[in-house]
Amino acid sequence: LSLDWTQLYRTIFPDLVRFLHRKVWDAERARDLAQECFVRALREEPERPRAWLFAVAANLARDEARTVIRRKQHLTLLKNEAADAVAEGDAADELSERERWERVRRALDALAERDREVLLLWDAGMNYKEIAGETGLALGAVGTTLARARKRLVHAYEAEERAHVARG
Amino acid sequence: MWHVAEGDLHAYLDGALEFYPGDQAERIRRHLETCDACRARLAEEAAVREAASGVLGMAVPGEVTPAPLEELRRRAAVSDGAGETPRRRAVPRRVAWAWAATVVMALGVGWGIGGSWLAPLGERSARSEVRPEEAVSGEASAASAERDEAEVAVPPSTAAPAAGSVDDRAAQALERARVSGSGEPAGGVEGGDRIEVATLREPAVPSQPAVTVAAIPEEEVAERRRATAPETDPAGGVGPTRARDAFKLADGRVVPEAVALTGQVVAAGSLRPIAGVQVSTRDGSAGTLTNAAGEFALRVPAEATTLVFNSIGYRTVEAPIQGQVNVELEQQAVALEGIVVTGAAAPVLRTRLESSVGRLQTADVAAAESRDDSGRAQVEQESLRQRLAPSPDPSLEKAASLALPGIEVVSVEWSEVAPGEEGVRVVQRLEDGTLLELSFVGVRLEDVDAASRAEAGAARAEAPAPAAPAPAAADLPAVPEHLLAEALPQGWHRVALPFRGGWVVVKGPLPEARLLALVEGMR
Repeated sequence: LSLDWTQLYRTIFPDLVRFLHRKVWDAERARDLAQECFVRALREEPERPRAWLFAVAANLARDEARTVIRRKQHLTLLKNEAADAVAEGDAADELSERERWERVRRALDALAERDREVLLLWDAGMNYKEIAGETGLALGAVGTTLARARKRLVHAYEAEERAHVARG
Repeated sequence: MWHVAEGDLHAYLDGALEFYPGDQAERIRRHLETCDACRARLAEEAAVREAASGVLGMAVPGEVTPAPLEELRRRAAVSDGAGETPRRRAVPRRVAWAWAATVVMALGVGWGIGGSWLAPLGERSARSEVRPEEAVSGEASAASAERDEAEVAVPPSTAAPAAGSVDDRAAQALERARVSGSGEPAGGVEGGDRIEVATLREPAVPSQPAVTVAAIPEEEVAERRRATAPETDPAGGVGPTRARDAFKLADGRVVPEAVALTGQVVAAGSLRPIAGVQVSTRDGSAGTLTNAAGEFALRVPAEATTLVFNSIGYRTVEAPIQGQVNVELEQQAVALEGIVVTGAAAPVLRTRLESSVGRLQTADVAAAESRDDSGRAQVEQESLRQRLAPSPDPSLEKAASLALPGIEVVSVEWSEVAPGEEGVRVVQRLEDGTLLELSFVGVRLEDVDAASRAEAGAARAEAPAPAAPAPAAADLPAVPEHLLAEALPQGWHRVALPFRGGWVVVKGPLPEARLLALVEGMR
């Protein structure tokens, strides 16, 4: 039983990065984590690489989130400095991209944990059955969860945009 | 009449009905074909779905170049050879950090001597200097910067055996560093942009123990692996329209490759976009509805060649599949008023066919007419006649007169209007776009003039909460329970009234008083 890892790497890697990016909000870090997933997969040779990779990615991202929380004290102090640095140097369009990411991120944060997870898994190309397996939801609940998640995301994002306009 | 739950509408849009057990998927599909209210809701949900995808699409990472697979293979092999996976790390975290840093530092010296590897190393170093924030994190940051160098500095395949063993240790150390890279209070930040991550979010899953990657529940993963369906991994995947995963047909078959299509449907002549047009492959393996701008996006199996565009009031059009499929729909010769009548064959069609009566009927008629010269026309005419022939109640022309006067009629058809009860269903649209659904059960159609002599009897309204309806007056006949059995969408109300020997049930997103007023006008 040998899998075509070259092929899998080529096809799944972008999805994995996309998925992880919505969790860590750092393209480089998402790439590193996605590679880490593949390193492990190459070692384990899972039967169902796709589901396996996403399960590992979700765990890595979760772990990362905890790290972030533990660091938050430290980071809060540094945050302002960083914001200044970005504002100073970078091109305007990168700034607006950052702003856009930030808005999407805040909108996603407005979702319940489970809703967000299901939405991101779907967005990363998983089907309902895979999502149900990954999250422990009943199959029939995936659609309901997605429906709710999508609505909230859209509303939250619109609220973010309004807030942005209001701020000027 | 039940209605499709919101979650099931999304499952439909997401192509996930195939996973539903039994005939659920079939019931939902059939209902969507005939229930205008649900189709309207479906269009709304499709818009929400699109909007959500749009929002997520705004936050995609830019081009991310993956490391060569070879490098990952080496990293994987390295940890294997060490006989201890990073996840089974026994060294306390802080110590691991220090160790990683030390080993990597030592390696750094080795590379200096190596000479030929200096170029990439220099590049990376230069880059890390550009980001002075890294210095903040001290030891950890040093390790992380060195780690990057290590990854770059390893030559793809030409590593000398001696150096290789050093590499192995380095990579192993890196694994440790990476795994334990989380969570040192003093560890700090690895890069300026990482600071962005510092959202002060509550723990994602507070109930789980705060462990490092070491605790990845491998057993759990394996368990899930067993539990999940047969893998449907992408097999092909070339070209810009490659779908991200395998395509599942309605019958559960899996086709490895799918093609993403987009397009727009406009009305011939006016070129105005048409919303709610059913777009599907000819075999029905994939389908969607157009949005308010007439646009659609659809993934179809690679083997599909033709898209069929279907909408009430327009001629069905087929178009070859290309990247962008734009079509114009011609208004049906039979105008909307006429469409009402085309439901005439409904009673039989309903039982013999799985698709919507109105649309099938008109399409068939058109097809039969246009192929008069071919031998096939004969057959089609024949089958049409057959379908049209005997029916429990062939007087839907008369049924059309049941519609509320002065209000646009969307459709009239014979169908199951309540569990186990067939009748005439009329869908009408108020000027503000609100859809009303009128169901007539046991109504004497032959007696159209009887409208004026319609039964007396006061209205009976039913609250949306399915509490047992209490009779409004003692002399009223009780509304048959099954007419009220079906759950209503949120915000909808229902009113049932005796009507010409039977019942009329009116449903819509309006207050009961309003519904009542509308129906009272009819009686």
